[in-house]
Order: sequence, then structure tokens, then C-alpha cells
Amino acid sequence: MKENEQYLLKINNLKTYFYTLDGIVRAVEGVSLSIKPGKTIGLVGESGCGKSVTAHSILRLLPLKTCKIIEGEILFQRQNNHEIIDLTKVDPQGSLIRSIRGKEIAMIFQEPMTSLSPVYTVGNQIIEAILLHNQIEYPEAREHAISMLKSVGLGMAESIIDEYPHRLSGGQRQRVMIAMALSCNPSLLIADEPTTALDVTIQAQIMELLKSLQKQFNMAVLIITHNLGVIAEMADEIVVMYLGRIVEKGSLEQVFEKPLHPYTIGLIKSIPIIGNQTKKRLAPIPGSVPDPLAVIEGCAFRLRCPAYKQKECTGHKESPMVEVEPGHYVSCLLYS
Amino acid sequence: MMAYILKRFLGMIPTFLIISIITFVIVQLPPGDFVTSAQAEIAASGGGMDAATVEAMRVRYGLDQPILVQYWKWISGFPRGDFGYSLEWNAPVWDIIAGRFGWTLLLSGLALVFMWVVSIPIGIYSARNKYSLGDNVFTFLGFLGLSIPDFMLSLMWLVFATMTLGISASGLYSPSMVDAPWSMTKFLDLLNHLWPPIIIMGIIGTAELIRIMRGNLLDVLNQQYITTARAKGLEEKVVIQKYAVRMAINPLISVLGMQIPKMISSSLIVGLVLSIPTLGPIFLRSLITQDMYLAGAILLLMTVMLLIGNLLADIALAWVDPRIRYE
Repeated sequence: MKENEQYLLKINNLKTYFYTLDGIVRAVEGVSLSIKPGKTIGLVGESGCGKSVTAHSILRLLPLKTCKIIEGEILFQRQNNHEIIDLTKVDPQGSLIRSIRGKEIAMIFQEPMTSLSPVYTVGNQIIEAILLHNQIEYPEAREHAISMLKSVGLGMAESIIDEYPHRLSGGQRQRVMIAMALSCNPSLLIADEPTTALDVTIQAQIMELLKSLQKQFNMAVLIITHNLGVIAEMADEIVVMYLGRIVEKGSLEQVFEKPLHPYTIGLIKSIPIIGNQTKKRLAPIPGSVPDPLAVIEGCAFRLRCPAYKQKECTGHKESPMVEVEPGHYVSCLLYS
Repeated sequence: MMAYILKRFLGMIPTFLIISIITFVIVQLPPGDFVTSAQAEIAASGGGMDAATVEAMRVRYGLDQPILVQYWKWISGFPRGDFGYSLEWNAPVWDIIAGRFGWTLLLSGLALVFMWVVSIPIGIYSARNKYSLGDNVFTFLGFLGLSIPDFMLSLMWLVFATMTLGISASGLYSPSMVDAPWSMTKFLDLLNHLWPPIIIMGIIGTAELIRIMRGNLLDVLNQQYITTARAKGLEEKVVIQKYAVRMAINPLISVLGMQIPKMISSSLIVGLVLSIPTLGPIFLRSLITQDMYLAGAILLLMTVMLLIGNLLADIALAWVDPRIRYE
């Protein structure tokens, strides 16, 4: 990659391991990706493929005792002086990372029902974040919180701000979370499966909201999901992960129109299409994700790969990342 | 909130009546009555009573009337603050127990404070340093405290204080201080006699509270809103205090309601062993002599404590947790 290329966040060969009683779980095994300012990246993969761990590694929110970033760097460009810092070298409990969390990189989570503390009002929790990162007085922070609630489409913001979270619906709570995340104008928003726990109609609303807010606030979004439909709505680029590794990345059109990796092809095939003949069965990917403790040499997908043993592929070699067309990368022996 | 408190308060009345019936029946259960046991005591000291005297006593104390009448005479005095008449002491029950009731409340209350003050910080430490040496040491000590009964600890303290330390360990004051006029020295002497029973009573509950606090906090620390709080950029100290501990304490408040009666009954036993004028010694005596109004009143008073304790705990819980607040 060229040094002068503008990026907001660049992850190089990140390896994050968990040390459990049963052994080492290689949750993230050499992930590299970069996010440009104002763009949206979709990180796709099944449960346990390391997409959430990648996101938590960026903000250093992983458990201190059991989890370690053993290799790689996460370069982040700061808002003020465009200074670039490596987040893997930062003390995970220090003041530097705390000035970035919430202020420059904000995060929203999968479970809106449990993401807010039940014993404090919505306003209390948002205003706290605003006061933490801005040198302003309480009344001004409250005004700002109300305007944020309005901008995420909560009409009765003046009354909702004094409500406790249990009085709000799941969709409303996710909107509150988004308002809280955006309240300090972050340059990057990490959305960890933001719509998984919501009704389908609410899902669409939340995605629309994220899309319009992204334009309004001009922030980059890293959206993590296993739902390809969600990604297709708003991502500029797609990164597909399998077992802690990136198997394919490219622009939205490239990955959806011309998927190269057998795993990506399988993922796209398994999306139900409304209006399709009902008799036609979905095409699932055979097998299941291997034991996370197992160390798999070579291609991790070969155990489930329909193309395995085709041509010259034995899957036992490490497959390098190759650029098949400009900006479209794949890690598969079939293409090297 | 007021309506909720009033509703809960009214709800206590039927409970109180049912328990008063059970109490009265239990007190009446042993064979014989106060007159029989008085007869036995007199006989034991070589005296005797003729049948006419015995019958006269029964009539005087109202023991010849049907049990329902006796119950009604007893319970109908309660609203007027009349808890019955002690047969043995020849005095109204309230006059006998008022002072002792104060000591019982004081000891139990201080023991509860001791438990909370000690166990919450230890619980937080144990949860945040799970499986560390400190956690294991506290767990061990906690279980040790949990498994030694309060009367045993009282006896051990009595022996240790008297034989090894050579200090007075029973009663409220040292023998030399009992009749002394009030002074700073006497007050300090009183404090010196109060802390051992408070700690002995507190130790059992402490172990329980440490375990509950540790478990709650471990649960809470895994909750999503803790990560949310961290992702906001809050200091770890704030995350723990404002978000984690605040939530983990809620179940302790329900436990508090159950611990109030436990502390009261523990204060009876410890008071008995260490000769402290709680309700304990007098309660035992009233059971032996079948002084039924005294025994019944003490039992019922403990019931009332239990009911009020639970009511207070419920109110406190509704106050701290908006999810169960009644509107």
C-alpha cells in the first residue's frame, strides 16, 4: 500500500489471541484492512470468525487477563493534528485510549436491550459522555443531548431524555445508543451487529438512519454483521472473514457481482431471495466452523470447501492474498 | 410511591394476625401452664401448694378461661400498646422488655452495619481479582465464619478474653464499672463490651454477603452496559462504581430484609452467652416458666421486626431500582 494514501484507520497483520484454560484461541490471525475517512466498511463472517474481536481490539476493550494482541499494528489518525498513533501500543486503561473512546471512535452494540444501564436515565448516560469529552456546562450538554436524540429520529426527545431505558422499545434504545455514540462527533463509528436483535422493519429503519447520519456527520463506519443484506445497504467496501482470517475483500460491487472465494460464494448463495420459487431450497455451506482451539495449517476453509481438491488445490499451503482486479483481493489457492 | 408503601403496610396486618395465632398456639403447646411450672418450682424448693390456691391462681391469671378468650384478651391489647401482663414478673410485658428491646435493636443494627461495611469492599475486591490469592483467603475466612455457629464463637471469645487476655468479656460493663456514675471511662468500657458481640453476630452474615456481592458483581461485569460505559471513555473507577457496584448492590437489599430477623435471633443467643441484656436471657426464662404472655410478646415482636424489615427492604429496593418502582 502506498504511504501517501489517505486512511483513517489501518490495521496491519493483527493477531489477537485468547488464553483460556483449554488452550489458545487464535481469534484474529493476521487481519489487515484500512478504512478511509467518511467511508463504510462491512466486516462479514459467521459467528466466531473474529469480527467482533477485531472491533474490540481497535478500542482495546478486550479482557485484560485472558486476551492479548500479540502482533500487528492498528494505526489511527487523530482528529486534532492528524497525528498517527498505534492503538496496539496504548495502555488499555490509560488516559490516551480513554480520550479516543467515545470521542474519536465510538461503538454501538448488538443488544440494545442490555447496552444501557437500567438504573440511570437515558439523559444521564448520554450527558455523561458529552461532559466527559467536552469542556461545557451541564445545561449546554443537556441541550446537545436533546438535539442528538432528535437527530436520531426520537420525536419526544424532551421527555425521552428523562426516561429509564426499560420504558423504551428495542428500536428506541438502539437509537439512543446511536445518539450517545455520535454525541461527540467521532471520526469512526464501529457498529457491532447493530440490527441483529431488532425486528426486520426496525432493522431497515436503523440502517437508513445510520446511512443518513454518516453523511451528516461525515464519519467512517465499520459495520460488523453476518447479514449480507445489511451490508449491501450501505457498505462501500466489504471484508469477508473466516476463522480469524480475511478471505476476500473488495468493493461492494466486486464482492457481490464477482465473488471469488468459495466461502464468499457460499455466503451469497445462502441469502434467501424473496419471490424465488418456494420449492427451491437454500444452499447452505456444508459442515460447521471447526473447533476454535484447533490450529489449522494452510487454508482454514478446506474442510468445508466445495472446490477443495479441484485443480491443483490441496489446501495445505498457506494461501497468499492476491489482487485479482484493482482493489479486489482474495486469499485462495485457486487464484494464486 | 406513597400508595405502594401504604398498600404494603395494610398487607402486613393479615400476616401479623395469622402469625399471632400461630405464636399463641406454639406458646401454649407445652403441657401444663404457668401455674403448673410455678407449682413444680415451689415443690423443688421443698414447699407445696394446696389445690384451692392453685385454682385461685388460675382464676386470677385468667388461665381457666377458654383459649379463644385468652387469645382475644391478649391480642386486643396490642393496638393500645398493651402487650399483656407477665405472670412471673408481675408487671406489664412492655415494661420488662422495653430496655432489652433497645439493646437488641442496637446490637442487631450495628451488626448489620458491620456486615455491609466489611463485606461490600471485600466482595468488590474478590470479584475484580477473581481466583487471586486475596480472593481465596477471603473466601476461606468467609466460609470459616459461616460454618462456626454464633454461640460457639461467643464461648470461644469468652474463654479467650478471660483466660488469655484477662479482661472482662461478659455483660455490658466491667464489674468495677457497673455502679460507677456516667463518665468517659465508663462509656469506653461499654464500647469495649459492645464490639465483640457485634462482630460475632456480623461474621456469619458477612461471609454470605461477600459471596453474594462477588457473584453479583461478576455477573454485572459481563453485562453489555459495562462495555458501553468503557467504550464511552469513562475511567475504570467510574465504570466499576457508577455502573457495576450500583447494580450489584440491588440483590443485597433483598437479602437485608431476610437478615434483619436473623440478626435479632442471633442477638438473643449471643446476648444469652455473653450476659448482655438483650431479649435473649428473658425469652429463655419465659419459655422455661411458661410465662406465656411474655414469651408470646417477644415472639410476636420478632415477627413484627421481620415484617418491618422486609417492608423497609422492599421500599429501599423500589427506591434504588427504577424497574420495580411503583407509580
